[in-house]
Amino acid sequence: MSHNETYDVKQELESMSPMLASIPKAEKSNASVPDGYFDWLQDEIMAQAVIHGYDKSQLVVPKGYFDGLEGRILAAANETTPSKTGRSRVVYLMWALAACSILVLAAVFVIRDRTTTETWSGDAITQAEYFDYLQENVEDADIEQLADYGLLEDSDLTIAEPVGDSQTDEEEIFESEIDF
Amino acid sequence: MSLADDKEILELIRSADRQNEGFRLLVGRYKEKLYWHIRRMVTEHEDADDILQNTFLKIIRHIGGFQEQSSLYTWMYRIASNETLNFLNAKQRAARDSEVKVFSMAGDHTDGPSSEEMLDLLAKAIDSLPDKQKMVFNMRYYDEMPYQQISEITDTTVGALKASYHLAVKKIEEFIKERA
Repeated sequence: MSHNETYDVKQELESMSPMLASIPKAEKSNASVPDGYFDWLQDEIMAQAVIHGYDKSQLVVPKGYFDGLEGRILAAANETTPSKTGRSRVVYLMWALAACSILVLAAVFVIRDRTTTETWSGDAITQAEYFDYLQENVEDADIEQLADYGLLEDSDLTIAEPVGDSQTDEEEIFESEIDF
Repeated sequence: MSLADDKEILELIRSADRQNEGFRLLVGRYKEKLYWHIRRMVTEHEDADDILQNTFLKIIRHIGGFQEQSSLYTWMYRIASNETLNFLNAKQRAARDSEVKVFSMAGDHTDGPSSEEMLDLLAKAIDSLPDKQKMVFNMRYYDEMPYQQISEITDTTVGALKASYHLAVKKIEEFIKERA
């Protein structure tokens, strides 16, 4: 604190309150501090800093690590950069892998779907009951599903040529076909 | 503490191999100033010690982000002030209030108070101020800080600080006159 500032503060206080200005200011405070407190405080704080992991200096970096780091990174990047031919091969392999994955997933889905339905059908209701249900609620299933479950023959799926002037729609055809 | 010293400390802290030394210098140079800044606010040594250690840990943790827009001294004071005010906000005030009442009854002298009693009375008067006003008063009265620096620490305008200090002085004067 500069001498001028001290003088200003004193003058200011005298102008505000002569009584308060006349009270001798204690050097620090009449409050006591344990003996040697300030001596061990520094070590205590540094120890705390290490415990809390705030001291980055504990994370050792090998000497000279940062020297020429950019060069080393760029060199490594150049070594691992694939050539144009190599890159197109990688792209081809990626597409092939993706296609294989889709095929495998589709196969798994179809197999699982069939297995699940058959199992459910066998466990819960009989084929005849299911057949009866479809007859009454035909709108719940499509033609492919009926064929999958063996309820329709391929010949049943052939749409007959319209006869005469009757304008039958697809639904009517379907209904007539399953109504044995 | 000159600005050159602060810069030297900052350079050490920012160096890879002498960071620890920089932290030690920092704590060593500011420990007493910050301790008394805190101690005048919280009274008890144990509380001041806790707050001071937390303050330094925060300083060590965040010094990497210190942009040097203010002096290191001001920045550290600001952290210490916030830590102290947070502590006081969380603490129950009932004990302090009752302490003031007990003192008020015991301080009924027929003769004028001795200089030691006067200092004690002054401490009680300061303690009766609201926390922020007390902090401003301490920084001006004990630390003899320029208003500009207090303004940077407390994020308050110089005009508001002058008014706050003036009001604090009047309150303290009144407190002492009533009890002396």
